[in-house]
Amino acid sequence: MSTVRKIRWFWSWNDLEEEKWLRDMSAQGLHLKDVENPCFYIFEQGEPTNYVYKLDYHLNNAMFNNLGWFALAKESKAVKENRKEYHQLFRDAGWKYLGTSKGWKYFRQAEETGKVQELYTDQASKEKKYRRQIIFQILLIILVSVYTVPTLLYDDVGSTLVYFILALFVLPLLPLGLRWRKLRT
Amino acid sequence: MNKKKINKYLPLTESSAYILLALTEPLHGYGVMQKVASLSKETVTIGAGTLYTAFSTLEKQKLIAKAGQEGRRKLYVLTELGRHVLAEHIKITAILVENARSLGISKE
Repeated sequence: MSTVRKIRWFWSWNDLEEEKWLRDMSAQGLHLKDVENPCFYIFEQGEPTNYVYKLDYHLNNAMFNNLGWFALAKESKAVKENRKEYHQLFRDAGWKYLGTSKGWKYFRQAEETGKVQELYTDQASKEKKYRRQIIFQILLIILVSVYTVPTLLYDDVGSTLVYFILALFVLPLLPLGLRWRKLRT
Repeated sequence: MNKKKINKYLPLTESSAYILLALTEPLHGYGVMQKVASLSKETVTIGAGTLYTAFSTLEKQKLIAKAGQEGRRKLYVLTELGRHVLAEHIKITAILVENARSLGISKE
């Protein structure tokens, strides 16, 4: 079976759009096989199929996926156990795991009419998913500030660059915060 | 059991109430999903993501606890505290339903 590679930028708050894009690709006969960091997608060519794609976000994934080279501590046994349990539950519920990118885990299953095919089925847990993303973004900002802000004190070369980098990390808080607020009310 | 301790967890969300109800016997995650669907006559469905987060929250709150393993799947069961919280939630809901019926909002 032939595979097709695609490169696409994915803003990490645009999970709903990403799900829709993958669904449209499958409708054209290109089925996601794997995602590679940060924006490489591998598709398998086949018959056009109606698949439902869903993305899920957890802090553990985000930490090890995005900050793999930062993480000093090794994954603890409890975290590993948790992840096994998580994958078992999703498999049982009919979700095929495709890969992880930017802390998002990609899943899919064939569409069935009349069946609820959602990962999050109540408001409270949906809201929590976006809260996890916001927490991670704030952690990133703290981390980036620790590395960049001190350079402002003794160096005038990098100041614009530092502001630019900080803005890049702070800006996503806006769309994330808006979505989170919408779910809360 | 201490009433204050119980009230801390109330009101339960619809999904949490059904998850607790399903866990009056030890069950694994997928078992809970199926049981909730059938108990609620398909009015409540619980997605895998919602269930996974609910398990970890309810376990942290000590309303449910691990109860062994079935193959690769972990089993959970209601704790003593969970049973009291659920009972209180049901009591409150029953009063609501009773009132609604007497006012003609909901039919028997």
